Amino acid sequence: MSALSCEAVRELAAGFVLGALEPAEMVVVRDHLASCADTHAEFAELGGVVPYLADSLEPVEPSASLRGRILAAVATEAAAAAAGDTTVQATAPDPANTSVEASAPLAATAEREVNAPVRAIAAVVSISAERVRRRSPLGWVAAIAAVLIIAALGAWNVQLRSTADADAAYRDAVGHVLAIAGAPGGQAALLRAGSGAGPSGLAAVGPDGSIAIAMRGLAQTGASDVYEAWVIGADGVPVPVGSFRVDSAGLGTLIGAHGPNALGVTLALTHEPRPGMTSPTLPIISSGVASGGSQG
Amino acid sequence: MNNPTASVPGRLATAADDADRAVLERIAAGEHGAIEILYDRYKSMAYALALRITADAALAEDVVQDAFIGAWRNAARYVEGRGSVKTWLLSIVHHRSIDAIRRRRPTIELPDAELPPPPALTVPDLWAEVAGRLDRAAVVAALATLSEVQREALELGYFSGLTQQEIADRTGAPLGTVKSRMRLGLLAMRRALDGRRSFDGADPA
Repeated sequence: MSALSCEAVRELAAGFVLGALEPAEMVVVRDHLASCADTHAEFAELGGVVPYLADSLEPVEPSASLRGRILAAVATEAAAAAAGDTTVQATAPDPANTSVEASAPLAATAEREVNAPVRAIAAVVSISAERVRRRSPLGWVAAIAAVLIIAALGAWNVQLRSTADADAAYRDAVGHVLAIAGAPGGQAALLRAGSGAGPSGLAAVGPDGSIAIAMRGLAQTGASDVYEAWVIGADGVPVPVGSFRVDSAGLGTLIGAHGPNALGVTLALTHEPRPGMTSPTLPIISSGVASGGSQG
Repeated sequence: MNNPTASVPGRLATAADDADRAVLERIAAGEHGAIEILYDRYKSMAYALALRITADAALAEDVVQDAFIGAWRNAARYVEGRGSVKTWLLSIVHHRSIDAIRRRRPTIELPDAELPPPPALTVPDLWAEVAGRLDRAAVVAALATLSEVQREALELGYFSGLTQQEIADRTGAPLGTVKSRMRLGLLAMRRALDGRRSFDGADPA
């Protein structure tokens, strides 16, 4: 039963479809429609016109970075959903739940199987998920950082078996990556080998061009050869940003580097015969596209 | 259904509508990357709408981001009878834009496109199905057939997120007058759009 007659509801149809009724009226009309035997065709008749009001506007192109932000945010939720509840779309439409649920099993896994450095990473994941929950615009930056770590932990199977020194350096580099990625205007990239398997890692580009990279699964370097990191912007020209060596643990880190900081740059890694090369020796060992951040 | 033609919603849908629905099905089936197809197709319309309502470029981008994520998340809930995917997407953008500007004011409920709509709004409306491919010039021309006060009432309601009472307060017109301007404005626009449809053989519902 409704407090309004069908006739009264008909008179409120235009305001309802435009969302221009008072809150209490909106509720009363909605309740009436949910229970009324009449089809109230006038709602579809008037409501069908409303979308055309939007069509009267001249299209406006959003900034190019918005695409990357949206795709990264969707990838965040999808990865979180895959890591947690695969039926998340049906059962938990709130991104907060998705992220929090997704991070919990990972945190538990980390507790069970690995040592302190990973627990520290897991803690970062939880904090990031918490920031996502508040749904602030900048929360997506944290979300990207979170999904990169989630994906990274999953891909690497949470196995840190290397020397304590390498672990410490690696942990330090991950900390730098997260700090840069999480800052306003920061971007993050998940670096992967072209084939899928192979060296992978995390990288971040700050708004000031600061760069940090943490890599796993690299072949050990010898007396003179190095891994060189490159930033490739819209012009397609690789700019060398720094080189590093890799020990027997296969961990490689680059912190304190600087390079171009355009949105959506590609970060790539090559194996070079010596430091200071100005053009990359192919093939690219591992690469990824930076995304995230907000328009300054 | 009262209307026999209404029992075949989507029969007259264009290839673009079908393609959009196929994208939603792919998303609902777990192919999350498919959202970029919809984004590339509708980003400039979505952004134009968000920008018109919020009048703030950064906020408009946040709204569009939020809306596409909402669409991605609720792809499985899309109700075909309510209109095209484009209409659905833009109604999400509209809802979130109004929501964004109303945060500064007391909350006013708006039909949320991502939630199941009232049954009256899911009655397949063939008119809405087939009128969806008019170009912008046709829509602008249709809007121009309205009286100034009717157009103002629709714009203040749709683009400014004002309630009928707020519009009455702002324009000085009696509440009942604002209500009828909205209703007559929508009907006049429907009639004007009706005359401009150019699909073959469709019978207006």
